Amino acid sequence: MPEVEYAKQTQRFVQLLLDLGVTNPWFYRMMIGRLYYAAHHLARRLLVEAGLQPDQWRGAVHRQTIDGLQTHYVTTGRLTTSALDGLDELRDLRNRVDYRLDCAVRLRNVNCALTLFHRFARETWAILGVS
Amino acid sequence: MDLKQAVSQIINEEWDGALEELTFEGPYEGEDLFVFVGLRHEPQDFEERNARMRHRVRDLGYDVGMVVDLVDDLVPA
Repeated sequence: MPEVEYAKQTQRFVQLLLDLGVTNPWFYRMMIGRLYYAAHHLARRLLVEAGLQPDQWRGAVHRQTIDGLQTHYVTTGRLTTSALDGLDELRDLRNRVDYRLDCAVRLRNVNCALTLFHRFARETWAILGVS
Repeated sequence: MDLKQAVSQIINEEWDGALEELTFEGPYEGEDLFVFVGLRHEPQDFEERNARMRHRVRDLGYDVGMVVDLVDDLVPA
C-alpha cells in the first residue's frame, strides 16, 4: 500500500532530520506538513477499505475525511477517539504553521506533531494489518 | 450565543488559570473558525483538558480549528 509506505518513509525521514539536529524553521514547517499529509493519506486508505471513494470528493475534503473516520471506524469501535483526535489536532497544527508565517515554529511543535502522527498511525497500521 | 462566544466560554472553562491568550485567526482552509490558545504554563493534566476542550467544541457541530501552545515570550530560552 503506497499510503503505508509513504507514512513510514515520512516518519523515518522526520526522525532522521531531528537526529541530525536540524533547527531551521523551514524544515520544521516542512516536517509538520509532511507528517499531516502522511496521516491524511492513511486516513483516506481506511475510508477506501470501508467502501468510500474519497478521491471523488470535492470541497471540505479534510473535514469529510475526519468525519468519515468517526462514522465508519470510531463509532464501530475499530479506532479510538484518541487516535482520531491525533489526526484532527495534527491538521490544525499543520494549518497554523503553513499559514501563519509570522509565528515562530519551535522544536516542541515538531515533537508534538510526531506524537500526534504516531498516535494515529499506530492504530491505522494495526487496522490495515501492517506492522 | 454565537459560535465565537460558545468556543471562548469552553476554552476559558477548560484552561482556567493557565490561559494567557485566546485569538481567533483565519480561517485557513474552509474551517468555520480557527482559534489559537496560548498558555502561560502547561498544566499537569494538559492531555485531559485538551481532549475535553476539543470534544466539547466538536459537539457544537462546527469545524473549529484549534491550536494550543505555550506563549513564546513566556518560554525560557
